[in-house]
Amino acid sequence: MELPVVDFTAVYPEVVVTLVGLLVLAVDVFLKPERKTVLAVIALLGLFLALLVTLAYYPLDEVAFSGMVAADSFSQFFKLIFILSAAFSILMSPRYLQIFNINAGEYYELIMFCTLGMMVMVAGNDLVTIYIGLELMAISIYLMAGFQRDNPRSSEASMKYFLLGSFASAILLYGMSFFYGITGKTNLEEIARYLDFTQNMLNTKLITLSLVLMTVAFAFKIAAVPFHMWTPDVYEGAPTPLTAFMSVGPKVAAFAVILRVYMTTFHTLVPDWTQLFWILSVLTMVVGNVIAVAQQNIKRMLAYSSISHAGYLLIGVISAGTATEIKINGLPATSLVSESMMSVMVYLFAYMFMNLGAFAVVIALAKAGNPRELLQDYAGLARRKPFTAMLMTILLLSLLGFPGTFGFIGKFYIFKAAITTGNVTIAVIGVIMSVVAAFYYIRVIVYMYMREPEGEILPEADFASSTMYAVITTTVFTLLFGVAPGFIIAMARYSIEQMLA
Amino acid sequence: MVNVPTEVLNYIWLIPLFPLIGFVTIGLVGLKFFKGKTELVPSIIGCSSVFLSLVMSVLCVLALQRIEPDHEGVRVFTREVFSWIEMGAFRVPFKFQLDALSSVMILVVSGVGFLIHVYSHGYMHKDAGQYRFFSYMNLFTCAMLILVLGGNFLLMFIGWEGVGLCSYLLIGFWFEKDSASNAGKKAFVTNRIGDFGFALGMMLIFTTFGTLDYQTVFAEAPHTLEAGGAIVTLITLFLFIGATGKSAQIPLYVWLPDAMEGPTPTSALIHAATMVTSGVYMVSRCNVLYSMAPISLIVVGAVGAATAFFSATIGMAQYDIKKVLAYSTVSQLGYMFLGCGVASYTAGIFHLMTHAFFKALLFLGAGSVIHGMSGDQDMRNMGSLRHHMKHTWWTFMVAYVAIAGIPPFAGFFSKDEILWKAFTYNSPVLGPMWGKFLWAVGATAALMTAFYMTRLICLTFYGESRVSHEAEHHLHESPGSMIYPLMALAVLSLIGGWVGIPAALGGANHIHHFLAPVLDKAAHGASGAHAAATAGLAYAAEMASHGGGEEHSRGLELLMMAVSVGIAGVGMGVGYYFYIKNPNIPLLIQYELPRLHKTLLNKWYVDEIYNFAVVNGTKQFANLLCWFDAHIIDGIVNGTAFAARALSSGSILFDGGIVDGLVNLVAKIVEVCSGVLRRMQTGYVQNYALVMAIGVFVLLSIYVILR
Repeated sequence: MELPVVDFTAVYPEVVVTLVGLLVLAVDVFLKPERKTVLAVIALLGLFLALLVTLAYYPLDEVAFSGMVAADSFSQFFKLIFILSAAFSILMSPRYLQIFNINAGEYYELIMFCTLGMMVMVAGNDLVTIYIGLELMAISIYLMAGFQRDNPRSSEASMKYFLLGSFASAILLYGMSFFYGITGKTNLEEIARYLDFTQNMLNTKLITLSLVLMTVAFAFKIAAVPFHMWTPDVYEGAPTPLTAFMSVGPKVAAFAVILRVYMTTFHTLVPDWTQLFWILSVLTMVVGNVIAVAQQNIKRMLAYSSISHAGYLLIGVISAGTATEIKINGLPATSLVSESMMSVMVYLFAYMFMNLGAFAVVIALAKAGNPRELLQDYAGLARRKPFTAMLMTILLLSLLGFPGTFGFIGKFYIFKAAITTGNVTIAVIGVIMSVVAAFYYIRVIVYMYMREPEGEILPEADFASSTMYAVITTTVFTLLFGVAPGFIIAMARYSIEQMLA
Repeated sequence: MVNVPTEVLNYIWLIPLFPLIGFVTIGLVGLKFFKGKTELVPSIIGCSSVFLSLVMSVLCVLALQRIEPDHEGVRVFTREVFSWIEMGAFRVPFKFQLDALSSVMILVVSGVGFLIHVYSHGYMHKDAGQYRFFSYMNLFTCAMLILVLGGNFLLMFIGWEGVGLCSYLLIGFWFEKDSASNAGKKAFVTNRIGDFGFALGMMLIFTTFGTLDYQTVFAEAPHTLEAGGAIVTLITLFLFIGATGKSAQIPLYVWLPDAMEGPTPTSALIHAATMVTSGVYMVSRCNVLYSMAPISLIVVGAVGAATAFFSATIGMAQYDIKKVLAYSTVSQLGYMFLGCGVASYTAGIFHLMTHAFFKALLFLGAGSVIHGMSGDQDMRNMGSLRHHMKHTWWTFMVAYVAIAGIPPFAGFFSKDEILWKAFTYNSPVLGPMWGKFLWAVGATAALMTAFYMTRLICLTFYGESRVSHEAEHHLHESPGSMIYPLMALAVLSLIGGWVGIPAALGGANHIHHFLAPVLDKAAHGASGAHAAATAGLAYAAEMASHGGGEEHSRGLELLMMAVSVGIAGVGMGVGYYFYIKNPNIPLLIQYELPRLHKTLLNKWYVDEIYNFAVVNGTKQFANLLCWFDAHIIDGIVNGTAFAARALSSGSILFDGGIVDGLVNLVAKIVEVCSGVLRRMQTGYVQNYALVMAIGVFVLLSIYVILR
């Protein structure tokens, strides 16, 4: 057995995030509880550095650590999303932590390590690397979800997520071990080669079994129905900045892994997993959207909305899968494959901005002792805080997929991919479900602009500066990329071409 | 020539970016700090941003000369700043293109723009909206630079709409005046008609070529399109409708004279020097297409000549100093289109450039006069101002001589080139007489130009002073920041034409050789053997050679020059005789020919006709629709309502029993379902785990057992 070759150029962003995480931990010891904001600044600077490092080495295309890590532009694309989402979550945190008395420096450190876990996950070129990254990410989140110790709901959320997450991890490991058992390999490329080579000669039932098990575990991470049960409870109980982080980071990471593993390694099993995802996607869109309609709590509403977004994203994955089977003039339709994968990546980028922005608005309105998360609290907000209400309106319209916003671009490409690859039925279901979604997104806008608050009008929270920076930045990007998405699209296309080549 | 490294060109996007930054800064900062005040800061930001653009433009143009020309001898630099729209086959990058044509344009826009920004500092120094003014002017400069630098039709359209917006904002700058806000609206609506044509042309180009990129479209046009065919004719005519709107040609010229309601620097920059010339730029940019569509060329030439002629007649009878200049602008724009219409695009662009110099100077001079006259614009209240405003007077005289067409001033060379090209033009459809006819109309317009400009000079600067006592008290020369730009423009109006001294006068005609690779592609192609192979280009080349390539004797060209100078002299002489020597003659003519004078004074009643035919027609149509709505539709609705009421009373029973029962049933089902779903979301983690386990089991059963 050969020892892994240490090739740090492939993992510089990861190294930076690790070191900054450790630095945060070290500095934390010397800080008084009321000066913990310094940690946020350090973490932000570190993330900025990681962003610069990622961009400086763009585009990479190498396999390092004896094939364990794939440092390619595909993983770099997702690393950008993780770094940005971590940065936005940290921007939202200081004031929230202060008013809810969460004085723990480990909070920032855990965000850094969670980010690291996600980065390792997308760079994973080996089932083991992917699993390690996934566990690092998940364990950090179990801890953070319970940070609001005086709130029983927070502890409950942490416990639930931990138990169910462990359950999912066990299922994932079960599936992975079957693959190892069948192929004798853990490296993705080697598994792919093995599967290609032994087509139709293996016990297909065993392969299908392990495929289903792995798919279930990833479905848990992206909160697809029926593996979504933890989502509303955990999202509601966890501290809101973390909910924002959790609704984006792990979901994006799981989709990145799905794209990489299923498109490059399991491409011989396309008919199996596209059907699997088809069922999951339809269930997710229907259940997520229908239940979201009934919610009175904004955080819970956003939790169900994030479930439904996973459903739309799965449409893109399905299109990518079916596209590999389409032949045009006897040649594989590579452009259809890459367009479908691109639609998922662009949608994820858009989802990051708009979902984080919407959560940031919820955080900006929270007050000490009163999180103000009920729909009723938003009645007449436009009169009391016109600017915040305007930004929230833009973000909600983007989540809805309104033209002129980044959300529209994402939905447009997803549905276009579905139709060009012949998945018309699911595209129609998706469009119908987007109409249902319009109901609960627009209801918030109606409350903000057209309803008068009932009963006593509580004074609004003071201006939450750093949180508002996050809101403004995400809104600006939502609009900017809604008009000129070419840059993101080009980046996504390039990384796919590189990965599939 | 200065050695500018070609790497400069990679930063070409800075040219429009500087004014954009200026616009944002002044707009945002101004709203907070300068509202209702006048400050130095907006002027400084406004002027310096355009100055930086100018410097960058000069550097880029110099750097362009150092890159290797391609096989057709064209030096062109393109840069995709970012990919902008990508929807399947529809791909539009944010792409800048710099070649000889856009070089001339960016230098004129940023150069003249800079001088006018400096002038505005003095002119607007007492205005409460000064910050607003500078931010709009910067936004305009940015949009105009995008228009001329854009590398595809959509980017040009962005600039096209952007300058239209700024024009609207600046015409209605003093929006509290009714006339100003109405003029703004009129300009906007009229331009909209033209933009519609432009958009149609653009869509037709896209459906024909599958792209909007200049280089691809122009390279493929000779192969894809049939020369003289319907498609190319339609495309060019649609685009030309856009040009008539933006460049104030018949029939859409009516907004430009009203646009004089805006501040004078606006009139100089937007409504004389740059924006209104964008139509000429567009036609020249599409020269490959126009040269393939002889019918369109005839339309362009005819509209240009007609506009040049009619607006010159109107200009002879106006009393408002800015109105005279406005009609003169319309007339000169007509000249430029006349040049394009005889397939001599270089002459059109050359005249565009010299016109930018002297017309900006005329407007700024007029602004200086109005400034001195405390806002009065009526020439009947002026006279003998040369004693009070010495610098304004001599700079104005330079511009006057230039526009009248006296050598060696700038206007002579460009106007003469257009007339000469028209005279020698041999239309492939109408024959050589068409060129002669256009020449005759143009020469008559030149005569009138010299006449009305002389009239303006005489009424304003010479003769008896008719200035009221009160106004005379305030009469003063304008401050330095207004005078220095005038002087700079005066120098340009003198020497600006020397880059195009024709060979007949022993000149090198630099501008022609500079622009020819881009603008006379067809003519160039004829000499290159490879192009002659393709039928389309050969046809176009043949046409172009009819236009200018034929060798006429030098003597004839010199004779024509003498004729045009003579015409200018006659015009000036008649003007002098009428308004200085014998001021009774104009009155006598007014008395003898009251109808003619009234018709000219009222601008051929075009506004009234439009009002009657278009505006009233629209209103009448709206009234008709309203009547239709009120009587027919409402009648149907009311009838339906009555029927419905009758029906509904009958169906109440049905409703109460069956429909409500169904609705309640559906509601009940949803309630039960949501009850089940709610009960599933118990909050007990063991239940969640159970659901997961069931999910795994069901999926496994489907896949492993059932298949």
